[in-house]
Amino acid sequence: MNINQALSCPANCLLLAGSLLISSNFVFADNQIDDVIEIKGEKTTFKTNYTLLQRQDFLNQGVNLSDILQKQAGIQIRQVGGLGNQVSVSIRGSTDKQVQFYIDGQLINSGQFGSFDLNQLPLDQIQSIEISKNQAVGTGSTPIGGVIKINTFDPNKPQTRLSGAVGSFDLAEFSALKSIQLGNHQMSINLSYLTTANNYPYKVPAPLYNPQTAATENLRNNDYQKLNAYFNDSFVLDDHKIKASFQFIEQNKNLPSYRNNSDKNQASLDTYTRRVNVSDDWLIGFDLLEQVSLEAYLESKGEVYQDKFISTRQERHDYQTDTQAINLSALFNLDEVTAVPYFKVFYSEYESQSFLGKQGLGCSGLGSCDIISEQTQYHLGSRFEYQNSDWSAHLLLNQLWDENSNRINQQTDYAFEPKLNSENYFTFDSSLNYQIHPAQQLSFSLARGVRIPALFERYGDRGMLKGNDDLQPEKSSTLSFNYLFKAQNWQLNSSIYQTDQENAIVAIFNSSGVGSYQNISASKILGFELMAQYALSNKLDLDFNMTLLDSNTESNISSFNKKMLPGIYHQQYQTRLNYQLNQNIKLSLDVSHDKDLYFSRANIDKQRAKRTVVDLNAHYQLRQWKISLQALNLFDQNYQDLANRPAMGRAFKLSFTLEEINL
Amino acid sequence: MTHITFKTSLIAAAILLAGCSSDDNNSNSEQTIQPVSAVAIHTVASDYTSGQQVLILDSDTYQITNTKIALTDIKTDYTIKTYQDDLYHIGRYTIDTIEKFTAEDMENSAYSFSTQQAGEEASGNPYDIVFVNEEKAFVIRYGSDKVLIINPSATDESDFITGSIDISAYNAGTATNPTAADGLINDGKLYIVMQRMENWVPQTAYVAVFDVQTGEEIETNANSEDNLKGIPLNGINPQQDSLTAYADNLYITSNAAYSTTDISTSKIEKISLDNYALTEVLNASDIENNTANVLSETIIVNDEQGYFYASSGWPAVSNLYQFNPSTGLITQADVAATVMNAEGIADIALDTENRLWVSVSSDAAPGVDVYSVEDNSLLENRITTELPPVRVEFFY
Repeated sequence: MNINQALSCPANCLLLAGSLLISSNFVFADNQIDDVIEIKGEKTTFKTNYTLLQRQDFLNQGVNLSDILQKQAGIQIRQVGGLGNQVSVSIRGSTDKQVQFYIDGQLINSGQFGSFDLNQLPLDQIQSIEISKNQAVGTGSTPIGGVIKINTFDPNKPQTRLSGAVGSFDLAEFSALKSIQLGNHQMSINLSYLTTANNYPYKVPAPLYNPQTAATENLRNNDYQKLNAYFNDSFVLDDHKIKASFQFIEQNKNLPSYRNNSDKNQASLDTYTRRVNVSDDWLIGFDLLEQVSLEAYLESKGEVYQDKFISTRQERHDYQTDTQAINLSALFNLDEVTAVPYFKVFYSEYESQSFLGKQGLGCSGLGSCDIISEQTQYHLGSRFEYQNSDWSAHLLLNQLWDENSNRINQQTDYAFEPKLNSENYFTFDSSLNYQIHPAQQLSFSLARGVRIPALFERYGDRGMLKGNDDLQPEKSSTLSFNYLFKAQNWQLNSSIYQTDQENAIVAIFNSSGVGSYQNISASKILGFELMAQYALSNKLDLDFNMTLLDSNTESNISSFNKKMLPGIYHQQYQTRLNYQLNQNIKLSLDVSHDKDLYFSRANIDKQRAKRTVVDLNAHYQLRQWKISLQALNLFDQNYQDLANRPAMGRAFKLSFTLEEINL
Repeated sequence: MTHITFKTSLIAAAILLAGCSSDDNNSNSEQTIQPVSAVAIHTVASDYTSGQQVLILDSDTYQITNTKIALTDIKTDYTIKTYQDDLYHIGRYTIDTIEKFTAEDMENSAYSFSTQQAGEEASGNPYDIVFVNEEKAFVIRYGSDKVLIINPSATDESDFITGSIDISAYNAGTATNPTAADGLINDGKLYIVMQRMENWVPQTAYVAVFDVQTGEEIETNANSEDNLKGIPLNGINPQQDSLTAYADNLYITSNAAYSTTDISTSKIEKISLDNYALTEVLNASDIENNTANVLSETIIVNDEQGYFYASSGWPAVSNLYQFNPSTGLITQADVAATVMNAEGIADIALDTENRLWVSVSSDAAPGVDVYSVEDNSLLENRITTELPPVRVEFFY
């Protein structure tokens, strides 16, 4: 079903119409954070394991969201091959799939694969970023890793913003944003475009025309273009605060052949995403019932993968994912206690069609099959919050019912067995905060998280990757303590936590070379985070983040038993030095040192990976004009990316912004 | 004393029988049979993303003497081959390299050369090296319609690939290569077995025969109805290590199509090296009460004794059988007790001292068991390895 069909569906129309009648959008961070302190332009909340970044704090700080997130303590970003490629996010030692990614109230993680595209929205279209570690943001099931939630641009003042940038490897981007007030409507529109050749120097193991001699060449066919359009309308109608937005994202990513850097390679992945969000906050104010909220989301995502790594091969694969979600919640106010019962429905359909599948070929027990998978989830739960002068607490309870199915989508002689599965999962997270002193706060939190198997993990591709009907969800229990101290010139925020995970889902291959996702291990992660901010003078301030992780696995597979977790740095140190040279010029230097990463789950690495990266930023501001120069990876350090290949080296970016906000 | 006498008699028996390592498929008379000097065990992480390494083992004491040879910490799609006292580390799909380690320095490679020829876009996917001598060998490539001729002793990259043999005649339908899976040299002839996949469906498998010296294909006249010179098989989907030669016969083990319900297309067949006549020795449905297991890898000890294993399921459980190659009769099941212990077998190999090395992929205790083929007694119970073993090769 495409989005036009989805929008014409009677049920959806009813729901959309319903959303105009009742309302509320419980963005807890936006609306209900009581203790927000401002530190050198950043806003950090006192909430346990929670960070809120406001728009002014991240605009001009990077090209995309991953640039912003990787400066946060406890978050690790690992990327493959430049802009537009796969990005892996880890929060406190989690895997990528254990992190939930939301745009407004919609969960973006793919039900089929469990992953998400972190950098799909340009920073211009983001109002704020919420980061929660080991617990949910607002409502929903508690994740194992945490939540990254994007609240889309929703200004309350007319404004105009033009920005552009040029940089290394043919990077160019342009964004135009206009927000106007028409009657009681605050309407915003943004168009942005980014292009890069991503043709950074790379040591090619076996160049196409001289495979015996490895050579450094500029990476070919790694181009990336992204076009974003965003429209938002916020208005008040009687007791209803309504927000409606539309996003269109087109991404064209060419796929390089890292092994030979072939000039004949034309492989590509094109992605087209359309998303409609409508939310309605109905401020009832009737007795204990303060608000009712309804949110509705429709998303249509089409992907076209052209397998043209070999010039004689012209294979096209189409993937279509249609998602619909409705969230209904109410806010009850009982003096010091608020209760938010909620009900959420999420439906997603994934369909694959391959070049071979259209001919009735490919699906053979060796080659993969074209399939249709469906997933319906129902969440029922409630969030309770308590607050008095010194104490605050929260409790989130969530029951999730998950129904999913998998069936064939091509002609085949292969004995394809349709699958249907139904499970339910309970999660919770809770916290208790005590304000010891106006400058000191102590917090404690306890969470029980879950990551349900992606449908691909549950059913495989019926080729050499078989399904597993007995696959159990990954589960976690996390206990954390936070202590925050704030003095006149400095602030110190620390966390110590332990996460016990079980049922890690990993593809395992048997002695015949046939794979299947299995629950292979439990693990224990002990972590310590320290975030310090110190104003050395009116002009100079220093941020320092440190994350130390210790991990240990327990597995029936002997080679994976008593090992450190792979894919995460176990030590991270980040320093940022900001210097306000004069009224117009600000300089900042970022140094990050990460170490103790194992690529191998069996920890057989010859040595643990590490990296040290230095970024330099210079900002010049004159009235509405801002000019920034960034030097990324200034010393051109070599380190390995997510796929254990050399990552991009030094890069420069020059950007300008013209911003006019009508106060 | 008893041990020495036993070993001496084993060696003598091996020489008399002109036996040879099952994995060292160069069953040609040009080779001198020597006692094993050491053993290489290739081990691979079972998630296939956590690397692989080669272990070196003392063949007398069964003690591991060297670890982390040719280690990679992510890529796993490698296999190994030995020739005399050299180890060849073969990088397969999209790796496309051959790395050589000599006895003098097992920890640092003597070279790493690409198996891609200039302009070849697709991964050739080298599966096997078949040695003629120290300076000539053939590289069987699963993803290419060209078999490479290489000089394994080359010191310069330009001297490594010396030629190629075209096997594109065996491409099935629209396929661009015949998915060659294994090769073997016997009596001056190179035998190459091909799955002939088309859109991931195996077509009629063939064995093609080439003159080792000239590289010319030999007309076997095995089938008057096709326009190919090779020998069509009845078994479907032969895989790596599917060829072994004994006396005047070439044995081919086929695995059947993946997920097939007709296990009878998984066969052990033999080709007469005198007249290329094809005979079925047995098929998977001949195994009593077997409904799912398909056959992998055969070892022939003598005219009346051989071994093969069959596996199915997830996790795979394998059954090692002893059989009579002359009659096809199965004489003993579960020789390695892998059915009893619910374990999978990834490889079997026979050394020149008539020891059968069984690579066992057990979750809890992966490793290699060593049996005597004299009486199927266990000579060494589970040489444990950090990663599951997938292949055993011998140094001479």
